[in-house]
Amino acid sequence: MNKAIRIFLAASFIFSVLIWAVAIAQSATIDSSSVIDKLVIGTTDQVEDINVNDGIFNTYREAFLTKSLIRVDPSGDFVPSLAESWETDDAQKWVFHLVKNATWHDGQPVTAEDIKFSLEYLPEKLGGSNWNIIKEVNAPDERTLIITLNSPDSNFLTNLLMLRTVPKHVFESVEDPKRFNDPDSAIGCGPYKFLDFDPEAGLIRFQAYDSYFEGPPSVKEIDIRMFKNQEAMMMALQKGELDTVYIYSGGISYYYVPDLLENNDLEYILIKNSGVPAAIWANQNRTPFDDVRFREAIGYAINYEELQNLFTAGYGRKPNAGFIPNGSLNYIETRPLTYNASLAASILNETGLLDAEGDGMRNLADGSEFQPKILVRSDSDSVRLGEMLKKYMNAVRLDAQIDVADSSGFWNAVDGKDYDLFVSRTTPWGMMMEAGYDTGYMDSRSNGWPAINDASFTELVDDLLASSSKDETARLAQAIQEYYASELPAIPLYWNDYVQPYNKKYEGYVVNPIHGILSYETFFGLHPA
Amino acid sequence: MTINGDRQTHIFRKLMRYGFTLFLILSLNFALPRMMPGDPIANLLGEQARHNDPQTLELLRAEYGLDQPLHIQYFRYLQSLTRIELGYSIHKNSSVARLMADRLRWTLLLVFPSVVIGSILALLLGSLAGFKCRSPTDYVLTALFLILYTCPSFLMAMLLLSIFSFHLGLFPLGNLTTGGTTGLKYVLDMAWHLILPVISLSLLGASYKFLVVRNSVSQIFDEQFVVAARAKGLTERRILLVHVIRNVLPPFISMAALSFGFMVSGALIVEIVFSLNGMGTLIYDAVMARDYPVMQGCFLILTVFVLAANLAADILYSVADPRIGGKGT
Repeated sequence: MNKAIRIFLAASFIFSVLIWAVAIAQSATIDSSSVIDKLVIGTTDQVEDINVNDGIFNTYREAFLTKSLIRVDPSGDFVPSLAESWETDDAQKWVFHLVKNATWHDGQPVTAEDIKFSLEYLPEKLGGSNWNIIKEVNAPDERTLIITLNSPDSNFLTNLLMLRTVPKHVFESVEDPKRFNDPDSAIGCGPYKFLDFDPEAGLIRFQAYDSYFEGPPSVKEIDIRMFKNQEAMMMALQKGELDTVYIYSGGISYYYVPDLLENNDLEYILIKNSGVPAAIWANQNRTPFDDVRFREAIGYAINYEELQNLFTAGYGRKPNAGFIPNGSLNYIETRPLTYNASLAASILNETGLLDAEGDGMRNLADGSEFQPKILVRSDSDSVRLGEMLKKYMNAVRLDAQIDVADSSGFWNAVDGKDYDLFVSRTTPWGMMMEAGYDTGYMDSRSNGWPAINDASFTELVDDLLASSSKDETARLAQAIQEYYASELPAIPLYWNDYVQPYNKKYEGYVVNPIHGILSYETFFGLHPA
Repeated sequence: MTINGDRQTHIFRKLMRYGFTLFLILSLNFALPRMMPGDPIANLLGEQARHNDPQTLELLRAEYGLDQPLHIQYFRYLQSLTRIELGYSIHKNSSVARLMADRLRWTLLLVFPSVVIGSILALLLGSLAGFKCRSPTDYVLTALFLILYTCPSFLMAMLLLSIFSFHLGLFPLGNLTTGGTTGLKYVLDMAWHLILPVISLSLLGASYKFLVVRNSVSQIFDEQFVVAARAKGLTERRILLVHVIRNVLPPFISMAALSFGFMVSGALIVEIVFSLNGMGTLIYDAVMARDYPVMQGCFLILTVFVLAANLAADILYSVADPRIGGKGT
């Protein structure tokens, strides 16, 4: 090789090394600039203690600390998490293959035995209807988990979204997890580990777990600041003390939107609510609420446009009779709910509810007094909604009365089916329960709020649970919506979007169907603007 | 019997009466939560767990002794009180004693200075307004305290928060501390967090006491003994401080004692506005969740404080006015 070639090769090598070094440096610069040291999130949800039985802490446990076998992506599809793959032939026996490199925050490996322990220990100690469908769990080796159900359930993966895995080596010696408030109780296998909880400061801190099996997240620390009222929380957001806010299954009050629009540092995302923010539910164990024509008349007596204006400040939509909000998976267009008081009155006349006593109000078909009671919760918008519903029903000469109860009294009455009508929302997670599509609320074998006594509905739910193909599921989901539209077991009052505000200094918030902005994609993709 | 003997008998009778009242209230504390509609265990499991989990419901009821007949529950409740065992919260995953110790500490730090400052303010300014009755000072003070008296507590607290924390940035937007501080820094940080809530509670507490003191002082100045004191040539200041204030003290002691007694019930609205963890929110949460052990524990401590404060007021009455507790009372 002559000297010129050697010089050329040496120069090429040095040049390549220099190019490579510059590229590395640039890449390092990009990486460090895209890292967020601390994200401060305000909330009005109150954590009492770092306990596996604390409802609010469990929200953060699911989002930050633990991982289930699967998770959902922003479009609502199931994607791998602790399980890299899974299979089922009959929707009854499910086999999961676990990732190899997942570890708990104390460095111990996550094994199939840990998942089996979690699936058996937590329901035994804390209860939970999600897990009653499991017949047995087996862990034949460290990476394989077999879950056998009592009957086929094509929606089983939805239940697994709520699995808060716990390390067997920590919890096997804990007799009563409800009284275990040690920091070890917060050891998980998620992208964040628990740092501390300071109740006096209303502060919970989570730190990125560098050995997380999918790599460390781009947000290095997440601080949750708790407020007991939304006004103070929004002041903190406006002052820049918070980067964003979080309210489980909800957004901020629409009252604050004008302030957000005036503040150049703030922006907001509109999140389509996959739950129904307000609906009126009829008790089909009672007459005349068991008569679909009566429920239909109530449906026509309601002025949906007025409710939408009063309660959603322009961030709502008039609902359809099919109940499931538009944008949901397998949504179909059903009959739009419309206000028609004269039609409502005419249907009521047909049902035999006439003014027998001549006092201006309708009586039951046998001539006895009829005062339908609307049960509402005192700690929500339901009281105002109840007043509006009373007005609408009075307008068609139904002598409706409002029955206000606090949360405990309200659920006591609903559980005991001691109501005529009640007003309640459904949550996005609740809409996914049982066979999905609101069946968890509707089916009498589950919550059964409207007390449906119809074998054809039960059959639809069973078929949906046993469905093994997407096409079949879509067909049955449509049939369920058509059933809701024709039978009106519950009447949605409006659909809405949540307002999710944030400070513009960071961008890349991605919304998850279960936990909103507390998503995998946010933790890994959020970056300075 | 001597006057001292009469007073001892008077105090002994009072103690007996207070003992009976305590027992009666403790029994009511047991009964009232159970008379409310709602099930603490169903609340604990949440709306989505109720229908599929009757077995868990039963197990949890047994764990908290709620599966027993009421008279057995009542007997156990009294037994646990004699052992000063307050039980375990159904909802907050913590012992009632620990919960109350945490909350009581902060509540006393918040409410005690507020009651003291509010009472002193009311006594001083009420006496001044009564002393200078129908003067510009009286008009200004009375108008100011009337405005404060009619101002709802949430509005007053929110105004203070909005002006001094949000707009002026002088104080934090809530909570008891910033977190992460120790020693003197921690104490100063805590004081910084408590200034606005204490001001808010002091002004609210002072407003109604002010009106009572002001009216009492102005009425007493028309009494014959004040005329006699003036005729003796005593200065107005001496008449106010020695003769008038002493006659205002019994109703004032009564009001202050009630304020001290109810101190441990916390200040729900102010706690919510300033995001503080006090007894007010603990009691509210317990009532909402039907958390019987916490409700019973909170009502017990509240009962003891109110009765103790009333007893102290009774004793102080007889000190302030020797006619009370003497023969024939």
